[in-house]
Amino acid sequence: MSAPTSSSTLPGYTVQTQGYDEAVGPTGETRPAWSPLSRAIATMSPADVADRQRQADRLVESEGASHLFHDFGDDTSRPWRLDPLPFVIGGTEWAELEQGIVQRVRVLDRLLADIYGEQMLLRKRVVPTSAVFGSPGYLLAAQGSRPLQDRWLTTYAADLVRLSTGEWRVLRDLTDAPSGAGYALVNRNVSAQLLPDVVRDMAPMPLAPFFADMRSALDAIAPAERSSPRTVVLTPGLGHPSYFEHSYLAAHLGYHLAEPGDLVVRKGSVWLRALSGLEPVDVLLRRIEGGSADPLESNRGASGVPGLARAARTRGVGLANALGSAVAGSMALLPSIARVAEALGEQLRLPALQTLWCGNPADRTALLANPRRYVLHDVSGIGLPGPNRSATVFGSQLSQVELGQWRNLIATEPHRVVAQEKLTFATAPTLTADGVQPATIVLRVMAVVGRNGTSVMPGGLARVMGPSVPIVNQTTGFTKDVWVLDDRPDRPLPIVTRSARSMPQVDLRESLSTRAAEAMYWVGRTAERAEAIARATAAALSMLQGDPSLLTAQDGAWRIPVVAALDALSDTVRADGDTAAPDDEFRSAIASALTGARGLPGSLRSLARAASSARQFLSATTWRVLGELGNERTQLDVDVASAFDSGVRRSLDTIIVNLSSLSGLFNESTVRGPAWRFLELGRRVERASGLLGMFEAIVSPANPTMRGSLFDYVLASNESLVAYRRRYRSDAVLDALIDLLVLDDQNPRALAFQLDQIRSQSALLPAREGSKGLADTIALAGAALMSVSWLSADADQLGPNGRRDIIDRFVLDARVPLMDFADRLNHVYFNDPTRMRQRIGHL
Amino acid sequence: MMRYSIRHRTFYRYGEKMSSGQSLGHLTLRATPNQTVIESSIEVNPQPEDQVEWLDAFGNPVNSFTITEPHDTLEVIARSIVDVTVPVLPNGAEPWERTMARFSTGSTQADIDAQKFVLPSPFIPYLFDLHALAKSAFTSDRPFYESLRALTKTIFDDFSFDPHFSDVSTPLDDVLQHRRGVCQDFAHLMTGALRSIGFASRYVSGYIETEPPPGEVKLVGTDASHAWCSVYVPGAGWIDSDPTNNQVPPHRHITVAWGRDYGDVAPLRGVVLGPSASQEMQVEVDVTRLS
Repeated sequence: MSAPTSSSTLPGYTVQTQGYDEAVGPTGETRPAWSPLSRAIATMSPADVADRQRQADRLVESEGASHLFHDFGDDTSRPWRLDPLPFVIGGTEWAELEQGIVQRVRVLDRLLADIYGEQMLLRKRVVPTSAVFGSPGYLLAAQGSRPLQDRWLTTYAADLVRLSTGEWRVLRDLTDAPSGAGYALVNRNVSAQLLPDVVRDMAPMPLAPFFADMRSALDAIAPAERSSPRTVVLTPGLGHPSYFEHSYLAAHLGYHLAEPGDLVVRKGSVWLRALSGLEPVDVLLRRIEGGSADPLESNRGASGVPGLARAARTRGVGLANALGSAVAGSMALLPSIARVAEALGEQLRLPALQTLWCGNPADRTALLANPRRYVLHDVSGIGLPGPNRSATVFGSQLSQVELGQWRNLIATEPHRVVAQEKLTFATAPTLTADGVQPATIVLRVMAVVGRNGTSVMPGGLARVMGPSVPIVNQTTGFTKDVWVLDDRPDRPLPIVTRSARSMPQVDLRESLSTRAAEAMYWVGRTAERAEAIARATAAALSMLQGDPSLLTAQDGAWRIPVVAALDALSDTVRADGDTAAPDDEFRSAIASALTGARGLPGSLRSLARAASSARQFLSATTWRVLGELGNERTQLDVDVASAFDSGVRRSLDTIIVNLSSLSGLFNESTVRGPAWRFLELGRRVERASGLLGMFEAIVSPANPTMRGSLFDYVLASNESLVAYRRRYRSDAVLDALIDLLVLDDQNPRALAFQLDQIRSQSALLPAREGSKGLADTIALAGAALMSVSWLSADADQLGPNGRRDIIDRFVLDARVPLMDFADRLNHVYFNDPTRMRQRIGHL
Repeated sequence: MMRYSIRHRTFYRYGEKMSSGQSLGHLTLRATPNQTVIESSIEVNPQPEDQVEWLDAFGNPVNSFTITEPHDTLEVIARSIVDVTVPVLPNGAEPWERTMARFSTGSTQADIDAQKFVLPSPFIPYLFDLHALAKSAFTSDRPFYESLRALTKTIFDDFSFDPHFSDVSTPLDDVLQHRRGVCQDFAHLMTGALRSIGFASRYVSGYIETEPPPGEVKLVGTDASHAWCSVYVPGAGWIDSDPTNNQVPPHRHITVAWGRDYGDVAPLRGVVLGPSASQEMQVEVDVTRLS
């Protein structure tokens, strides 16, 4: 063991003398690039440190990143967390890395051109054939193809590690659909807010120019003679662990986000299913694996866009990256890249970490002599059968049986196994519960290739590695922003001379994919539904607090209809003849409205889902509010016992305030266009339906003696009690209630107002087959209002033709056409046949 | 030389109207050193909006078509006229290990192309039993062709033809366990066995002419799609073997396409968009000898 060295500026920060630390040199001195940051850290108290971490978590959440991760039921996902301490790298050192990356992209691109073309490198045995053909990234469908601009790699990323000697090595190349650029952007946005003073002092190089380069690089691979090419970000969908990044990038770059079902290939070109019909697509920023891109030309099930492979081969669409690019990132090829560079007459500047590939007999022998020293990896991604199945394992952690299985795999299918020695890597300061501690970092560096060359993002994504996981696995949730300092006085001109920033390609006011249209509609419906539940619950709790006797008054004449209204809102079904005590019955209705799967949390979860499918139409502030809502939702912890606690009411208040800001944002920060229109339709349909539910559950059966309190409850639940008192200055009576909540087309809470909005907004939607019928259904719903517009004085009676009959008939007459409208809207605009895809069996 | 006329009709009936469909087929015969395609056509009903043909990574003709009108049936008829000659087989007395050694050091384009066919593929994983099967025929120093014929005969003798046992999704392991299957399974078996000892071997999809039982008239649609196996011999090229019939093709064999396994050369595959519904499929193949 080497003696530890303590940092001269960072109290308690101790590193191994014989290792390499980013911040602290061998004698404990702070490296120049880290000085300002170290000084800033040194002044922080433990409380400050914890506070920064909380702040970081909150800011990440407000970018819409963190709650997405744990909401979608994927066990492997985890919250995205940012270590407030960035990873700092000096400009001189960075420039060298940059040169290395630029060269690597060039070499890998040439390798791909050779593999799918002449195969000279294969014939000369520079690259072993079984490493190529045995990689799942090698695509037969790409053999013989030449991508647009002959560019295989438009985007590229590498995972780098620093050895204890201080040298950088490539852990792996990411050549298929490398992720990370969007996360880097999130991290930068957050870290700029966390450490504003330090950012000003150290002036890390900005990331924005990289994204401008990315836009122009994507434009460059459009089919020829497209003056304003259109790019779409192609994501596998919500279930994908990087879905957040896909939607974030699409929104940031101003591109449509599409799932495979949103695209069709016709006559060799790719089209987006949009509200106005099929719209042409020129370039795909492909975030789906090359091997799953086209079900017609792969054996990996029915995912993907049928015909895409052929459209790409015939250059009807540009793909970033070209199909088949994954093979260049196969770890089986890592040991060959230096030889490929030599064959191209170059010396590799940025070599890979020493990697053994068992297809090579010498490597195989070396590995088998001492397998426990290595990290073993199956390039097919399968790994061994059994409970601990993993494609990447520490040799030292294998049981005798497992080791035997790996030996067997190496004997029978040697091309599948690669190994990297388990090394001690460099460390960097990381914020932990125990203060600033050293940890190993994997640095993901990203590049794009455009007309004017390769542009490397001056920054990246640093991931903090846990000590017990193989380093190629992405397992800990902590990341760091990466700051590249522009500290050279004579920094040469950037590698890329940048053209003027291109204009956004898509007019998002007019172009809308059917998927985004549907998502916006559900954003509207779920937000409104959440608000209705929250308000109805809060109103009930608040009235009870004012008058606890309501709970038992008149044999439950107040309680029973209110419980029915809450149950209807949260889809709760109560057993008949439930003999629970009145108090418990009420508490349990509150609890299920606030915790049930179809209650408030369910609506908020659906809202987050729908919003992430329509990210580019929602403003940045919207994400902050959604983040707060996600936070409140996870903290809602209500059971029968705690239903009356003041904490519940406080949470509800926060949720109501946030939902109100959300509707403000929908109105004030969303461009009026088809996207907003669907959002608005969703809100109005949901609000109208909620109102009808209230009339049915409460107004219709209200017992005359409790009528006043019940009508007050309906008014309070619909945010109209104040308006009512101002206008009528009397206790609530039926015709006044109907006037305010049904007929008043100037009250945004009234049914007439909802129907007016639905009518006028749906009339502005693009005409589609069946869209004419929409107006008819809304006219029918409007007609139902006539039946309650002139009520005689004795209408508010319980007898035949009294209140009960009138209201029940009205609710039915209005609800049927309203639901019909919702069905038709779904059928006309969203009913996408791709949802019902099936595969023909073959023989 | 033989001249054949072939008609291969595939018919789908869906329980509901499908709004669109895209298909990809390996239905057009490829040219081979001993096979010349005189005529070929593909007829699709309903009329496709778009129909294209290209060569895949193995040089097989591929047909792809897109139907954009609502349809509840799909009919694809491939018609071909082809001349087939019987090649003279090289007379190899060389021990198989020598053949193998020449292969692993070869660097011609043909040698490199053949490398695609050495590794396991989606339908043909590495299985220890395949290795054992190969070694039972490829014994030490045995001449290559003799070993190859022995392997063909072993599969023919030890496995029973049973059209009810397997379908396209039956794993090769099951076929090995139960010792039964159809031509496609036996072609996969032999291909996998040859690969397990290091040879490049490919799956060949095609047709075989059948004869009616003695005294009966041949019925329409009774011929069948067939499959066999081919192995690469450096210098000599690819040598076919049909383990289902214990024959050396072409012996009434007509080649359509070849690939690593069935998945690369399935006669017809596709994606239809529409409500989920039942689907039925019928296939008829007629092989008629013209001369």
